[in-house]
Order: sequence, then C-alpha cells, then structure tokens
Amino acid sequence: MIPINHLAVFMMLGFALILGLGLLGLSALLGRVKPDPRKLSTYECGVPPSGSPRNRYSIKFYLIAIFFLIFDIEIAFLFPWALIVKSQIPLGPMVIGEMFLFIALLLVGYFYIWKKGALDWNS
Amino acid sequence: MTLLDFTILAAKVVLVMSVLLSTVPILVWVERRGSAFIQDRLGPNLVGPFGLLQPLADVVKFLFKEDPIPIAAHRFLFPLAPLCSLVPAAVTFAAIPFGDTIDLWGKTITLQIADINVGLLYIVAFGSLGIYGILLAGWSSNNKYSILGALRSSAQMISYEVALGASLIGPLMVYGTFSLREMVHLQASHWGILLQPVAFITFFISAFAECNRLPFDLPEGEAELVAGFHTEYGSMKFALFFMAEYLHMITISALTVTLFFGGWQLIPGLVPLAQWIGVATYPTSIGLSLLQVFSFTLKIGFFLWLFIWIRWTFPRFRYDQLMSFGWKILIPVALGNIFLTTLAIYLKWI
Repeated sequence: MIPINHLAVFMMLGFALILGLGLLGLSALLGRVKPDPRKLSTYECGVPPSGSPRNRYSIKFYLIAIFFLIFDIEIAFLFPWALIVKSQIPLGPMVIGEMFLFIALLLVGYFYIWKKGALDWNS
Repeated sequence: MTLLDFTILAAKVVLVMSVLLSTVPILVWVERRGSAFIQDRLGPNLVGPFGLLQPLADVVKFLFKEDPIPIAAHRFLFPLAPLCSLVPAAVTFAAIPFGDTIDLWGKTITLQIADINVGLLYIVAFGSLGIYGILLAGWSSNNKYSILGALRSSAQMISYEVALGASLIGPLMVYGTFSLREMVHLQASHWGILLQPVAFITFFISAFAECNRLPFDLPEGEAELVAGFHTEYGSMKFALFFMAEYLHMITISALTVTLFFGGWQLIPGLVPLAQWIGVATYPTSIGLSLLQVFSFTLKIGFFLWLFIWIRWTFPRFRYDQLMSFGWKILIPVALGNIFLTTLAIYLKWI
C-alpha cells in the first residue's frame, strides 16, 4: 500500500505531466503549419550559421562543476548533522568538534582553490 | 485509505494546481504593469479593465502560433526540454503547508498536499531538477546562443546551489526537523527570521540566482545572447519555460515564508480585525483556517512583488562578478552562519 503522502506527490506529477503535454498538443493542433527553409534554419542574427555550436568551451565551467560536487557533498553531510545537533549537545561538545573538523578540512581545500585562482573568471 | 481520503486528496491537488496556474497570468500582469509604473510607462492597458485580460489574450496567441522545430535541432529532446522545466517547477509546491487544518464533513483535513517528513529535502531536490530542462533546451537547439546560455545557467545554478544548501543548515539546526509543517508550528511565538537573519539573506540571494531572475538572469542576458537558452523556442514551448520560471518564483517565495516568516502563522493584528468584522476565530474554526491561508497568501504576495521590484530596479551582474560573489562571499557567509548558530545553540541562546 502506497503511503498517502507519496501518492499525493505522484498525483501532482501526473497532473503536471498531463498539463504540459496537453498544452503542447493543443498548440501543435491549433497552430498553423507553414514550413520554410529560412524559418527552420538556426537563428544567428539573420546571417547563415557558421560552424558548429557544439564546440569546445571554457575549462572554467568544468572546474565549477567539479567544485560543486565536492561542496555539495559536504552540504549533504551537514544536513543530517544539523537535525540532531541541538538534541545531542547535552551529551558533550564532541558532536560539534567532529563536524567543525570536517568543515575545516573542506576549508583548506577551499582556500587552496581560491589562492590558485580557480574561482577567478578574469584570469 | 478510504475512498473519501482519496477524493479529498484529489480535490486538494486539483485546487492547489488551479490556484498556482491561475497565479501565473496574474503575476505576468503584475510584472508588466508594475515594471511600467517603475519605468514611468503605461504598460498593457487595452485588453479588459486595466489590461487585466492581457495574459488571457497572450495565452490565445501562444496557442495559435506556429510551433516550428528548427532543422538543426534534436527532434525528440527539443520539445521535451520545456516539459522537463515545467514539471519539476509545478511539483515542488506539494510539500509546502499553506494552512494548519480545516474541519469539513467531520474530517480533519491538513492544508498541505503531501506532509512529507523530509519536506525541505524534497523541495531542494525537485527545485534543482529544473536545470535539466535548461541544459536540454540549450543543447538540443543546436544554436550558439542557446548553448552559451545553458552553460552559463548550469554553472550559475550549481554555484548558488551550494550557497542555498549551506544557508539552509542554520534554520535546520534551530528547528531540528525537515518537516515544513513542524517548522511552521515551531514559529508560533516568533518568526524564524529573528533567529536566523543571516541565513535569510544568503538564502534569498541564492534563491534569486536559482530562479534565474534579474540581477542574476545571465542565462538569458538578452543584450548579449538574444534570449539565451530559449532563443529557438516559440509558441507554447516558450510559454512553458515562462510558466516554469513563475512557478519557481512562487515556490521559492512560499519556501522563504515557511522557513523565515512563520508560514501560515497569522499576521499580527489580523485576529482583532477579523473579530471586528465578525468572523469566528476560535481554534479549529473554519474562519481561523481561512485567515491562516489568507496570511500565507499575503506573505507570499509580498515576496513575489519583491522579486518583480528588484528585477526592475537593479542592473545585471557581469559574469565574473556573479561567480566571485557566489563563491567568495555567499559561501563563506553561509558557512560562517553555521558557526554562529552552533555557538548560539551551545551557549543556549536559542
């Protein structure tokens, strides 16, 4: 038996899907169709497109993605800790100390990439 | 689960979705008229009284427009992208409590679609799914502007996602629960912003970036990228992106209100006013439930207006400014807030 809260989410999903598909289908039905090679060509400010858009791009985007992974995993570890910290503090300060050690380790890496200039977009 | 439970649930889903979807055209109207007043213009004022029917006319126009798929675009992914944007944006609202409970037909109905015990995680997870729509749109269009817009967008959204996540830790430590319903209950005496002002500021700024709203609208950046990731989109497909953006704004405003501004807790001064008018406000009365929903709507309305207000007041960031602001200011501040909150909890201030 599926819990009612999960069922609610699935109903929301179904509703949104039907809505999106319905609107797209309706506009495909109602909109006029008059294809033209110039209309269907890629938009590049009126001139014929030159070269492929799927070209090489700046390494900065890739670096940001890598940093995101590290930092977001860190945040993901912080979430469960944040839940219990208030109730666990009476048992001793260790619950804080361990997490701060964990954050401190991340901060070392953070200052390293900062000093290396990986966060600067001008260089 | 009885048939009655199921019917109530279905009614709630349909009702909330209808309200959400009808808020979008109203918001579009407010944005266009509001921006016009900010810039000393008239704005749309011809269709209906005060131009109120303008969004309706827009919908008709969107429906009847030709919907071409460019030859270079991917046949399957190109129409899929707007759907990938819309669906997560519409589903995210499910975990937001918009009122306490209401007693109807001898049943106590929770005014929330899904009371998930990890509601906050659910919203963060679904809220960040929208990026797939943008990325798919940019790549499948096979257009230089689109792919540049999509790349910028993904780098921006994942950067500010870290700050967003980090600024949620502080409130989580204070509330000690993921359930948004319990969070609202905990704010009965004082709103969350009193305990977490720094978290509110970092959260709200990164929420702006997550919504791709000005001053963070570099993915579109019309002066340099035409229209960014949706350059090649027209007709209803474009409208779906538009709807997704506004739905995202509504959900983010609702989350801000729930986390920091007491959710559906009554606005001070509302109870005497209601009693003066003659509405019964004893606990579990329908009048009180409606007042809660009204308070919640009013608070959300304020933040939605703030979104519009800021958009038409501030200039756009440069991309390097955007990135260094996110990584070098927001993330350290958000982490600092975690230290401060821990200290405050350890010293039993909160």
